[in-house]
Amino acid sequence: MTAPLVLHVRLQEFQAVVRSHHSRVLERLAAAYPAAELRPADCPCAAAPSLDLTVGAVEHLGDVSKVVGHLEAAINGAAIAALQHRVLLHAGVVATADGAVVLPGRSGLGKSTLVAALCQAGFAYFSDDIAVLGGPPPRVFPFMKAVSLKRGGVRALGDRGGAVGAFEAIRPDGSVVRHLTPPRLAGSNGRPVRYVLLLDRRPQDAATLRPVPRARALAELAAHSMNLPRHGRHGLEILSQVVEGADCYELTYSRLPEAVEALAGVTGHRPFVGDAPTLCEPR
Amino acid sequence: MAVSLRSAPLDGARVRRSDRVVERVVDGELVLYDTARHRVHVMNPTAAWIWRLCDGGHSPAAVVSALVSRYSGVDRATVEADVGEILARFRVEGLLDE
Repeated sequence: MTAPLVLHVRLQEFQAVVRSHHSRVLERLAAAYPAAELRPADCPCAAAPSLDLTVGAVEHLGDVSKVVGHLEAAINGAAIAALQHRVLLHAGVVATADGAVVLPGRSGLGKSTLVAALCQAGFAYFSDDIAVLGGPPPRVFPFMKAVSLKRGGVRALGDRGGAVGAFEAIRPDGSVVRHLTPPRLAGSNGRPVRYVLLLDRRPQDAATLRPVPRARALAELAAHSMNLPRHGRHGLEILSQVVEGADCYELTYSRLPEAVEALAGVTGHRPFVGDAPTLCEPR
Repeated sequence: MAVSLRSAPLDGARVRRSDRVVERVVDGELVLYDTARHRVHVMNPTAAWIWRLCDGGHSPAAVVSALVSRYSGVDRATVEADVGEILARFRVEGLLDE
């Protein structure tokens, strides 16, 4: 037991605080949110948090890995619920100086691993599996949780995965993930979407990048939306504007380095200049 | 369950697009989004043209006639089969008001 601490997590408008005497739990949880801040419990905070959690005696809650995994799931779930006024997609997002690259795809497709590899190659990090869209004009906003990598993803990254944390969080669904904070974070501001990239992993195939019709890209974005029925016509309008302002490609690949090289080539790989992460403002 | 897409009668009532379907044209291609079923459809040019005629003012037979008039030289029987299949698909997908 130590003095009580509070972890402040901000994911766009959503703010969570997690209170605990167990610094080990909060430090592990902080690794899941690159812009999180660990503060003394009496640190003032300007806005009331959307979610306020208190972690009790961990020895009665089970393994720290499970506690952290459950807290992370609770925070992410609450953040998604709080951001329903935005159009949300299952998608990884990285950025170059020209704008964002959106990679829609179902869970298990390898988005997080590819996003991690792209970030290690110099792309700025927005999110590994949730794209937050707003507008007009259409922009994608960061969902600044750390890249969550399963064991296969860590293996695939190989030497590029050197910065992956050793701690393993166990999610409520039993999956085990390790966290990676990419070297270049996007900050909190939205960016226009410059590229939409449909992923198609095929064993043994060399990486190829081919243009796809924007109508198909729109269909893919809509199919991977988390809350498009809630937004209806307006939501489709935002997605349409996204693809109309973007170059749309399908990336077929099996090996990460080739995929990164193909993407770097098409985007020009111009360095991104990010703004500083903003957190809870002092009172 | 197998669904026959060639079963739509061409002498049926006038066909009308469902209000719950949102449309958008992107680079000349018609995209439909069914807000109730959360499904997206990208129309080919023929399907898009037929979709436009599902305005509540055309029966399936009238759609066929319009298509035959538009594309001179096409075989009416072929058009009837295509229109019947496309309208059947629209119905299966819930894109039309019944």
